[in-house]
Amino acid sequence: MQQANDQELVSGVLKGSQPHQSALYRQYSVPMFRVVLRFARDKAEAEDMLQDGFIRVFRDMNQFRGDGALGGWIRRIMVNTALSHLRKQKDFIRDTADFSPYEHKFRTDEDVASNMDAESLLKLLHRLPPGYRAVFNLYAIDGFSHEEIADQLGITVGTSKSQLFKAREFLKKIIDKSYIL
Amino acid sequence: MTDSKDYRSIDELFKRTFDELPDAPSAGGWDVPSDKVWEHVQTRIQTPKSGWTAQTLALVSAFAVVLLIGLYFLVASGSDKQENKAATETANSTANVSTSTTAAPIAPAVAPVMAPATQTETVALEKAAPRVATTPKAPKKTEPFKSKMQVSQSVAAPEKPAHNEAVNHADAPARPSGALPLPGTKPASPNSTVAKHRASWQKPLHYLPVLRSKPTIPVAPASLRVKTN
Repeated sequence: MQQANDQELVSGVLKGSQPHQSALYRQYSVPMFRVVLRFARDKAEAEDMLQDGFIRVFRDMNQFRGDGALGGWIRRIMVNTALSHLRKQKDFIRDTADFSPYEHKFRTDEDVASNMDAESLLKLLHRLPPGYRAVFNLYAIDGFSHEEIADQLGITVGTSKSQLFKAREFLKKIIDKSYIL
Repeated sequence: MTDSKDYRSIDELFKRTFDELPDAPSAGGWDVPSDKVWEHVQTRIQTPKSGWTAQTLALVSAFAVVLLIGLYFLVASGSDKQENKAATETANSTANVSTSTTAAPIAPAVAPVMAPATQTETVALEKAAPRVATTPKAPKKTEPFKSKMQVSQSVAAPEKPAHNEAVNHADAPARPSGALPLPGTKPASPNSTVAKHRASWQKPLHYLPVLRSKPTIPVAPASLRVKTN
């Protein structure tokens, strides 16, 4: 049923039907906004990413072959758009062992362990440096390999691994270690 | 609220938390984008289409008009130049022919001068207006001009005093000027100037093409026409 709806949405969007465009946005805006929120540093930047992502979705809809789920195809576009935004930021990947510029952000009185919902985890992610956040998102949540991350971000595999390691170290410092091995 | 004890690592904590979110937006609204996003998206996906149509139509129309005007002036100026050139050449050829026609009685002096000029102009006119020059009417109209030349030769020859009448030159071909070869001279070789000159006169001269309705070459006077039985 979902696939049939997707086909209908796709054909309508390809014909330039405004109701179909609006329906597609309403159906996928919330899950895609959650995706780009993980990469952005705040809500405003996430909205910029979402806007650019949906423009690309409507512009490149004729490239959707229909052999997979429409949601998966849109999600890939959103991730790529978010990474494009990050690449525009100067020196967003910091290959350094010096955590001190960001350490103060983790000194919080919030009881993180007792409030582990998505919004709280998202707030933790937003406190990470952009490079750590991007690599952690791509590897831990989106399932990319280090080779793919290195290719996507234009870094080496070693840098990707070190960024992931440091991101985990950051997150562990503020989450109760009793819940995590 | 998730059960943190189920997670084996921090990676899994984040992954399962975000993957297991319901489709509906959260009550707090943290995962709902503002309405401005859709407005901007709608503007961006609609504007290029309408703008493209209006601007492209205007540009293409303007370009087509300019192109047509330019082509019109180009063709018009080209045909004007061609007409002027053809008219000038026609006028010149008419003047030459009329001059030569009036000088026809002094045929030996005029004929060699007239013939090359007429041929040159015929070639020029063929280049300028090949369709006119190659019309099948040309052979018919060469008749009066050809007979006029023959008349001029036959009339002029007796007027020229013979250099040596005692020598029989009956077998020698007549010279265009009507003069007889000197006694004891050999016939001219085929490559000599005299032979070429003679050969050129043996070819029928083409009548000038008529470009306008007005005849360009006047008919020879009756006194100069050859009487045929």
